Amino acid sequence: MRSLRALALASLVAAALVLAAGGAVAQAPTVKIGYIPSDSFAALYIMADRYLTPAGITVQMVRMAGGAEITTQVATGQLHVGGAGMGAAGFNAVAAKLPIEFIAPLHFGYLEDYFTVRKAVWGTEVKRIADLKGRTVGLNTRGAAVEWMLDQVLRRDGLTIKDVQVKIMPFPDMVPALESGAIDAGILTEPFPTLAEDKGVGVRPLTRPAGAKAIPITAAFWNAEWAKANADLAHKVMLGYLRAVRDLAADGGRGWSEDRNVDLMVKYAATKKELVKKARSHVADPNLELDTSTLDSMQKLNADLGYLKYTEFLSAEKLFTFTYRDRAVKELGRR
Amino acid sequence: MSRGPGWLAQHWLTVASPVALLIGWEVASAVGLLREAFFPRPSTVLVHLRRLVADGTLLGHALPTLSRIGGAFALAAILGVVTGLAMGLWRRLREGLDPVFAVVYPIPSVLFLPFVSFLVPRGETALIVTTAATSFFLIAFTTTEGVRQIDPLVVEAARHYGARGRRLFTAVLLPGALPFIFTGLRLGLGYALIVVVAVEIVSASRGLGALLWLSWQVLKVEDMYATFLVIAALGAVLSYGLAALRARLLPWAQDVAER
Amino acid sequence: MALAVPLGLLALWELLARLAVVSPRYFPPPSRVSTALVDGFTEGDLGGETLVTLTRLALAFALAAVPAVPLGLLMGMVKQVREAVEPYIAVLFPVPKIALLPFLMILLGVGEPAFVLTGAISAFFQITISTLAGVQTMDPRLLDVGRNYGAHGARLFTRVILPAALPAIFTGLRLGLGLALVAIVVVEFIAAKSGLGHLVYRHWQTLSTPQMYGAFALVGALGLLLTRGLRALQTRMLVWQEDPGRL
Repeated sequence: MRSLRALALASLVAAALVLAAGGAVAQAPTVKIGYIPSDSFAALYIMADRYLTPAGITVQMVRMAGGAEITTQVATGQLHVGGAGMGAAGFNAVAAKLPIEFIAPLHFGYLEDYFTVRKAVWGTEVKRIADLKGRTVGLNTRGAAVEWMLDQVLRRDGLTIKDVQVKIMPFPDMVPALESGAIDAGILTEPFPTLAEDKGVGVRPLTRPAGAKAIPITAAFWNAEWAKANADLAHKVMLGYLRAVRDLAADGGRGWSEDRNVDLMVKYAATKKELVKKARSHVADPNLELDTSTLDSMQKLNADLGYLKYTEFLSAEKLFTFTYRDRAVKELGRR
Repeated sequence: MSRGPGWLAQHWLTVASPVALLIGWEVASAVGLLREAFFPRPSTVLVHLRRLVADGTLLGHALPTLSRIGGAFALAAILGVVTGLAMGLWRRLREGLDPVFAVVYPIPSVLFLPFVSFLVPRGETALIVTTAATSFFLIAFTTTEGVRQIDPLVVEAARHYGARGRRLFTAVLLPGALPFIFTGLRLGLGYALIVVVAVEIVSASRGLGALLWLSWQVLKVEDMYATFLVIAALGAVLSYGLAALRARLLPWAQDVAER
Repeated sequence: MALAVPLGLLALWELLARLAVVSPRYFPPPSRVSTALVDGFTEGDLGGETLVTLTRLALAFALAAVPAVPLGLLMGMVKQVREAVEPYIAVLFPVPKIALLPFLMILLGVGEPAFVLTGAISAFFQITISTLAGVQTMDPRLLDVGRNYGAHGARLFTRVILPAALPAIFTGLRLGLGLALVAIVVVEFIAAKSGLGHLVYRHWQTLSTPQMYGAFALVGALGLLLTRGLRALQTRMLVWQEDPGRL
């Protein structure tokens, strides 16, 4: 009989655990923002800490590993606002009419600043991009902008993404992976390429041609139903976002290395200040406009790889909901 | 196995319950009670499944999975039965290996992938060897158990009548252990599927696990459901099909896991 | 004696790695792995990561056991319930539970609820099936005897059915806990960003092999503790019954 009692006790404990777990789920209304710890999400950090929190809006920053996760979370309403590299998950979500609205570009950049090659092989086993054929290249996720960026880089020397072995790992892990030889190259976002160069494990072999235009890489989005139900709050978020982006774009982009902005990047991306200051700056557009030809090229690659669930490419106007942006830009004035 | 109308009359709930669920799902999704983007109607899933079959996508992912399961199962079965028989016959070996197995066996197979990928060439070989790991231990365990449970009197009697070496093995030990070996093989095959899906999620670009994971990563939700259906069907075929096969081949021997 | 072979293997590994017969980068000597383990506990957060895995495991197990045992009992006693539920169990039991993870992540988001639930589902089916088997295989004479002595309804249940099914329930719980551990570790390896499974994955990706083998060994130790420890507990608690689920 003692064993019966023990079992009953165990069930009671288990039931209490379940109840406790259930209780922890309920919480106060807040703006939940999903981010990937990297400098490219700086606008979201600044928006949250400099513009939303002081305005009395409760913000919860949720750290995630990849864009697909954030996209799903926002589409299901578990997160309200998020950002991600533009890619298949987002395109498919819009095409499937999920309640997710892309509201503005998040950051722009140059391929040359991302593409990093393992120092130990560059110049020896790998003398040019074409030598990467069959080698292992690190990406942080499938079906997102990074995959398109890698494909673009490879195409410069006659390869495509299908010619290399892609290995999926989070950005921070790529630096030790370059060091150990787990990958021979990777698409890394700042500050990790700088960190790789600092540690002497990676090089960025490509130089940016003069007059190159920055490419839109990530976009900000939110849950459409949340935005509709909280129109006022959504507008405030949009205003805060625009201000944050302008803080970064200020002074011809020098905002990216400005102390108060760098401090927030250090806080959320958990890196060192000197490193962020040394990193190559991303680009932000003060009016949140983007060159839409990239979107077509991205959709084309995703279609070729069989990632898209639709065949007719979506235009920028279909992919993005610009009304919130337009209202905010009008209110603060064009730059 | 014949199930006539009498069976249906007696067990109508077994049929009615899933049918009701599917209809309920279809309706709920159609009228918007469930969000169609995440809970596509069963009929939509079937349409997508047909498309995946028609354009060859499914075959292109199912074949690698099947060949990996086949390879891993063959590897696990041969090594497992041999190791198990040896461990059953020689006490020394059993006592020596038992603590090693005890630690290694509960580790999920997928975790062997890093280790295996250092040991053998990356790619298919690594995937197959990893997939074989848990099945191997399971088959070795059950085979050992099968040899050990043979009545020593039977072995003694066989020896008495002159059975030695190979004859003792083929005439007494193997048949005696067979029901256990078969149970081990059945469970091992089931595990091979479980592991291969996980291994493909982590480290393959082809295979049903890879297709499932990629469909999730790019939010092709209907393909996710369709792939899941195929994986579930494969699971059912592997576990119930083999049980039926045993009933055919070894009708005298009850599955020891069902005792 | 029982430890001779494992110790011998470790010594051989140590030797081969030291002599660089096998690459010490991929197969670091066990001494370095244990140093990494100790460092991980004293300086790193290996303890914390272990706790994360254990917490997930405990939650998953509780979430599985609490509904599974009553469901199994109910299925064993009420034919209609059994027939309505059986098809789902028959279809879902052989499915690799990890295949449910993407669905749970869509449903619940990428986070603890989805991770824990994947582990819970793995254990749930096993516990339900074992419990059901416990009721179904009980000696019908026990029921008759119980009835003859006037046991009905609740009394029949608590005095006859439950004790008779208890060994099978315990076996189900033990097997379920093992399955939940496997599922949780695999989920960590694949999707979560914490826990022992994730440590193995991360250290593999970055080729920090001593740490990788350390986490790997820790998972093995945990599994050993749960499988062998619970079996010992079961034999002590239910001395009067033979364990029906030896395999």
